[in-house]
Amino acid sequence: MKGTPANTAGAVTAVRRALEAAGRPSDALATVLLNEATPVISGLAMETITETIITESTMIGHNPDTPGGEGLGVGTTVGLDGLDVVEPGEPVVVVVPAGADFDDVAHLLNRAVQSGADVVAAVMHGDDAVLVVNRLEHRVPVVDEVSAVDRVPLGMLAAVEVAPHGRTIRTLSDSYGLASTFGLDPDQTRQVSPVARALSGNRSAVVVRTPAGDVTDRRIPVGTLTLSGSGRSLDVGVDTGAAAIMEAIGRVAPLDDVHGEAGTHVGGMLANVRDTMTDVTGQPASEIRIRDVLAVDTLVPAVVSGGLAGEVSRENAVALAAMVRTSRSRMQAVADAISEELGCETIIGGVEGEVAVRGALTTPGTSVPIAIIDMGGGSTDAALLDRDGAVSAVHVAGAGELVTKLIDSELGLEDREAAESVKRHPLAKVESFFHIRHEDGTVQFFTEALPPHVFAKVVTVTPEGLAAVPVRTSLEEVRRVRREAKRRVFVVNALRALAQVAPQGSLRLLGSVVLLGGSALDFEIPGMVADALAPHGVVCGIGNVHGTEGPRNAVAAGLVDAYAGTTAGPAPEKLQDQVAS
Amino acid sequence: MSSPLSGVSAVSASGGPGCHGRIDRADDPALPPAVLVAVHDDAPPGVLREVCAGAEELGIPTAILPDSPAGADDGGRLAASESRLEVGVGIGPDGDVVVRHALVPEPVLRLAGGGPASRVRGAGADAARIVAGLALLG
Repeated sequence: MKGTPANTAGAVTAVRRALEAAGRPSDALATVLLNEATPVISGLAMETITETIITESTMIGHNPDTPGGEGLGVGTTVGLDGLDVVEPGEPVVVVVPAGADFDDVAHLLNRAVQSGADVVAAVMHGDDAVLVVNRLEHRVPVVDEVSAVDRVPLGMLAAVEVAPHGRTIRTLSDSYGLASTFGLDPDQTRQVSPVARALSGNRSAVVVRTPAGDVTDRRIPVGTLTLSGSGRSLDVGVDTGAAAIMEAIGRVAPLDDVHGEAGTHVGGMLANVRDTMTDVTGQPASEIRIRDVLAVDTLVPAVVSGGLAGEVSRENAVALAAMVRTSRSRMQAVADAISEELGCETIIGGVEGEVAVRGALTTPGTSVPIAIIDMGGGSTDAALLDRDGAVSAVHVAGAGELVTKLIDSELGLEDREAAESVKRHPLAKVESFFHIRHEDGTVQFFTEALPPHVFAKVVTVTPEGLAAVPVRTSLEEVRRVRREAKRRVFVVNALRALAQVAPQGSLRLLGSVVLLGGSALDFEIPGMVADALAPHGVVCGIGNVHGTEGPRNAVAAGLVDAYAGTTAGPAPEKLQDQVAS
Repeated sequence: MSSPLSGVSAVSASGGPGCHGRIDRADDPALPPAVLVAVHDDAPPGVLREVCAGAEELGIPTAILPDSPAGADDGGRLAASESRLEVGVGIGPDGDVVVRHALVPEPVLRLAGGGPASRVRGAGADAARIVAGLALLG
């Protein structure tokens, strides 16, 4: 972590590489300049705050790829082995257990129909619905891939609906459709309306009428955050959502400290952040204050409890990023260690925000007042140099790591590397063994066949080649999730941080805004931030230190320029001219 | 259920209703586009049934070539090159399965003989998934 002695080895490596790149021997080095860095530690937590529960096997609401047949069948559930004793003319829905062969099933159903049974639909375990329906003399709707088919209750009234290709079901996803199907009174209809909602958008569904069957949405209590600031303290339930949390933070701003309820994810995360800072600085945990929190609403796919076919519903969750910084500087220890390692003088030459602004000001086209935004992994930093030469700086919680976490959970990837790849690289869809369609719609042809493991997949286009994204959703959905995550973290934080350093909190008074750091190299974040700032009349762009270095090395360039004075290049002159004017 | 199409004989019922059965020649214009299957005479009959079922579940038709080279890979190559959908499946004498695309030099999928029926069904499904432009199962 920057600003701590553990950082020494990294600093020494960077200096040696710079010397190597410049073709200079290490004994030619006279002075190393260090900036005063603020150690910042951040933490992330996510709490799912709603859950969907199916009680008493009331419905099967998953979406198998290939259901069979079409239409709506309503009848009493009966096992495959119970077909022989079915009353002729009584409509039945056949429940087919695991391991049944499609030819045998079709044969048994055809035989039952020949002996007078009124088979109106079937529910089965295997992925055989189309195969069975193709062999039936009277085609009926069949829903397959029901993994817990053995838990479908027998002897109950059930309805099976399969929509035509390209359509979604109409009856079982409609409250009055369910009422008509099962003969429900107004009170019962009100009770089953969550079932209808849970099924909407599916191509197939099964609803079983059981005495106490229901689908409920439940809010999970996940503890409270205690926010202190402005001389008062406020409790806010995490399950109230991000908007309520951020509104509460606004009411106690500026934030002095935050505590989370013990035994919850959020409480654990905040305690962990404090402990890490204690380890790094030696400062007692009681003195460490959480100075900023960013809460973001998100939707995470979760397996429905009580579901019979691995049904997944999108549940509400709140993601929280917290940030702690310390004023206890250990820079002198770092400077001493570097001096010893490299055998040269080391000077602590300025505060990070100030020198970064100075470096950013070497970007052609910028002028004072100038603000910088440095979007890192854990925190987003902003600093402003005003016309009087005064610099103000701020760190806010939430940056790249939170974006990765949101992408990971919203797409249900459970694979941090894949989420990181989605964040960093544009998407494409592999449309054949020889061509892909990029997310902007353009097509790229390949002369050699693409490997089968990426065929028809949504992929990230990385410098190392195409990497499959392990999702079943469309490219458009993955892109939407990626851009929304970046907007809710980077754009929201850029505006939040700039508002804290802007004169009178007004973004209109900012002048130039320069984006620095790794995220400024991202393929879409600079454009998204610039779009968000455009209505405020702010010129915003990617830093280009000294006109050649791009958005990196602003701090190093600022340090060297300040030390070397006006002889180092155009930048300090420009700074002085502009500050003077 | 036999296919009403010309050039199609009903000799092979084992392919099921999604299969046009054994065809006399692949370039018959009356034959709808299909994933072609080249099956060795000594191949276990269950393998052909599962391959065709895998494709049928996805709604992609199959047809069986009149004769087959000795090995699954050569069979798959011949079937793919003859198929108007450019996808073919070869079934070898030991029940090994190779799925090929006419324009791709390497097999898309290879399956050793004697595996579980579900894997063989999966190979037929993957042949259909290439045609349908769906990600492969494995």
